[in-house]
Amino acid sequence: MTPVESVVFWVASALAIAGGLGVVSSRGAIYSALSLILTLSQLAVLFLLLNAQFIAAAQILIYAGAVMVLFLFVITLLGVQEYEFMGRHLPGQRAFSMIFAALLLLSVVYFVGQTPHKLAAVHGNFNAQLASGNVAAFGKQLFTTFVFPFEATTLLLIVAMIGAVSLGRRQRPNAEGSLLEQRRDTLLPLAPQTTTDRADDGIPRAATAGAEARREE
Amino acid sequence: MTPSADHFLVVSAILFTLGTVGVLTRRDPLVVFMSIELMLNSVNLTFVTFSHYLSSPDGQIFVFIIMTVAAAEVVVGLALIVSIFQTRQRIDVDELDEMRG
Repeated sequence: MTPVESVVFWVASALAIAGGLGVVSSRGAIYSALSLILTLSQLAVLFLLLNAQFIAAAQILIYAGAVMVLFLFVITLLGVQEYEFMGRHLPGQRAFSMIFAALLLLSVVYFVGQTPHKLAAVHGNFNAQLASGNVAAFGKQLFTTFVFPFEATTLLLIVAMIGAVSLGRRQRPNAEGSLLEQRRDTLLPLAPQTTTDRADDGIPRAATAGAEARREE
Repeated sequence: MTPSADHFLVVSAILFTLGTVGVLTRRDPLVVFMSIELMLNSVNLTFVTFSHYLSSPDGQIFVFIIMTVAAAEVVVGLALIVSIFQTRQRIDVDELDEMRG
């Protein structure tokens, strides 16, 4: 890597980790979302350093664009809620999660140190096409070897879209009441309504019974 | 210091650990959800790192599919959170225990 790329790596990594800290430690959900956008955009920079141009573009478009806009939309829709940072928990939850996280980090870093250092020496034909980027090789591989997983993702997207629509349109509360109150309004008057219906229905039911009897004749 | 594959992998490990801490300690379901996204992205960084240093496009294709799955997951998860929010004024992941989970 050139010295400029090294500097870009360190700056982008520091910003990505700072954004990750912001996601975990921010008080409001909207600050977490903005920190996550910082992390995702810096990860796109790291992808560019790793010669993954298509993935970097998709990262910006899908994650920093679509997904985070959806998150911010839901946060503003639901309104700002204040949560105490690591307040009221199960006993020992904070200590256990910190210990667990430290163990996880230490073990992953240890095994990264154990990996054989032959990685940097490997240069196959994929990175040989660096002059124009390796998007063409990526696309060729995606539409030949991996065409079945690619088609399966389209099916997954359709299922997710149907699921989101059916989850979104099922409940429509009125302006004043929440869903529970609305349900109570529709469920509780059920008993008296049925009795009055039965009383009203007496004559028509006899009429239809008579009609059916006539039809049978 | 010129970065090697190990540096990228350590950055990914740190981001994954931060996401784990977020899932374990936060109470806002939206922040828990964003922490899961952070973990997914750190794994994406690992995939792209290995794809680069092993000189194979397979890792990038895996990342592409992970992105699609994550987008679908976000859509369904946020729809669930919105519909839960319609029945309660305040969502807390520890209080959502109707299913005795």
